Order: sequence, then C-alpha cells, then structure tokens
Amino acid sequence: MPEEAWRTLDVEYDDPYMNLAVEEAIPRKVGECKVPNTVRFWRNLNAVVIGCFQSAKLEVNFEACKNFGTTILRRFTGGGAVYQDHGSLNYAISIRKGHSLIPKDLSEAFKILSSGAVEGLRMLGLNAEFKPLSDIQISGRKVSGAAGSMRWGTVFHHGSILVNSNLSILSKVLSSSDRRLEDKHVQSVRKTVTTIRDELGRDISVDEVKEKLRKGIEKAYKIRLVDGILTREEELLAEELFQSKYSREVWNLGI
Amino acid sequence: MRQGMALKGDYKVPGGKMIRVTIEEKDNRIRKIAITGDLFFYPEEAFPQFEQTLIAVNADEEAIREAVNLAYKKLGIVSVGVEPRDFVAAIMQTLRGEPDA
Repeated sequence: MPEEAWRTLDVEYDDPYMNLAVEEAIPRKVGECKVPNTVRFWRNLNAVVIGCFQSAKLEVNFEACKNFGTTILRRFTGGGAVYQDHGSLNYAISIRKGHSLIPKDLSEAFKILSSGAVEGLRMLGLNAEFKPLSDIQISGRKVSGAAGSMRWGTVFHHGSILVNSNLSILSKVLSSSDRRLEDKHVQSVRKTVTTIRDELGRDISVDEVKEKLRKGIEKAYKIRLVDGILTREEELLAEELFQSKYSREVWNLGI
Repeated sequence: MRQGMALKGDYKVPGGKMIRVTIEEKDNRIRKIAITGDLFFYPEEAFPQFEQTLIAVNADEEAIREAVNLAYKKLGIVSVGVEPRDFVAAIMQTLRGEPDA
C-alpha cells in the first residue's frame, strides 16, 4: 500500500497574533476536508502563549514582558503557558477525525501525537522520552510541552520545542509576579527545563531540528510529508480569526 | 465571616495540573466562581457552562461534588490530568480560606 501523504507547511509571521490565527484556521479546514492532514512548523519572535483556560494575570509577569518586549497571547488549546522565541520550534499536527492513528483515549492521543517529535529528537542522538501528560523530557528535564484539541472534525496537537531558546527570559516572563517568589522560581525553572542545544552540548539551528522532526514524524506515523502552501481559503479564515479573536485584548488578556 | 469577599485558592493536582479558583460566597451559597488553570478540558466550549452550574450551589462538599459530577455527565466533559474530585477539592480548599495546597 502506498504511503499516505500529508501536507507540511513552513508558515510563520512576525505578527504573533497572525501565527495563532493560522494555527486555528488549518485544523478547521482539515476538518472540512478542504486540505489534507497537515504538519505546520513555525516560530514566534518573542511571546508568552497561555492556555485557553489560563488567566494571563495569574500566569505571566507583565512587568518582565514589558521589559523584554514580549507579547502575551492566548491559544485555542488548553494546557500551560509557554515562552516562545526564534530558538523555539513549534510543530502543529492536524489530522481528520476518524484516522486510524488516533486512539479513543485522550491521554494516549497525547502520547501518540508526541511520538513523531520524540522520534525526531532521538534521531539527533538525544534520549528523548514522552512524559505524561503531554511533555517531552531529556534526562528528566522538560524540552517540550504540548496541547491538543478535538473539534471541527479534526484531531489537533501542537508542541513547542526549546531548541536554543533564551531560558533566562523564559524564567522571568513566566515567573510569579510575587517578587518574594521570583528568585526561587527562576532557579526552579533552570533545574527543570532544558534546551536541545544544552543537551547536545553544541550549537544547533532550528532548521536542523525541523529536518529531524520531519523525518521522525514520517517514521512514527508511516506517512510521507509533502511540502505545501496555505490555501487562499485558509488565509481568508486566518485573517477573519485575526480580526475577530486573536488580535483582541479581550481574548488574550480577558480572563 | 468571609461572606461577600472574593476567596482565592490554588490547588495543585497530584500529577502536576494547577486549578486556580476565585469564589464569592453569600448566605452559604456560591454567588460567583471563576476557575482557571493549565487544564486539558473537553469540549473546551463547555467550560463557561461548567462554571455556571456551580452558581447558587450550597457551599458544602456534598453539594459541590454533586454539581461537578452532574456537570461532567450533562455536558459530556472529558478532562486529562484532572478529575471531578480535583475540582471539588480545589473549591473546598478555597472556601475554607486555604490559599495554597
């Protein structure tokens, strides 16, 4: 049987709000059968992305974000806040509901949909492991977190991998706003979080990690990734979502 | 008595998830409630209704457990890393005025 072909996209914007608008437009169009199952790779310049059930006020240090020029955004999936800069590689998988790859159990879905990234990181020679609920760890330290959603007829999973991200900024912007706890938090983050660069002990580009992830995803899901582009319909929907949701303060900071 | 005041509490679920609760209580009933956290809660759109079902519920453990369990059933909620009992524990801890667990 020929390998199933999925679309892969390298679509990123300087505008972080547009990045998240596109992130939602793709699974919506996959669910409508307008585009094939898709893996998108992308980066944000300098942003904290919080989960859809989180309060920005409680999870993000606004003062630190102001100092570092970090934008605060809300995504449409649950889970925890992540810091993303150009050293963080995001991958997003959209698969039409009913695909044989998708288990019924949601915890198991996180594991399976993280396995492509785990495989890719192992191809770099790293001892990467899935850590429930939705993390990837190397030597007991977190290198990636993920979140997912099942709606619009699509199973969606996205993760953010710390390739050579600035952990110093990460620990400050995701820190408690309570100054008494700030130092403790920074130390704690540095002990529990790592980057691909630190684990490899050498400089590595995001592109190199992306290439391995592509191969890891192809191997783990027994599919073939084919380079594609965002369709006009997806662009229009993303523009609409940008205007009505992602660029709005009420969505990003409202809770 | 804490009546009329907003009570805030953070509850760390075994396994790592965090449930943050803000409650206003009046006449031993929940008047307002806001729940936030790094949750995996499906369907996501049901979350406001989930919070809504806790309004006017007696501020005691049995009534809250019943309301949470009923909401899970009625709204078809599935959560990963957080069980209904964790929401009950988070709410009760907040009502008792214990800010952190």
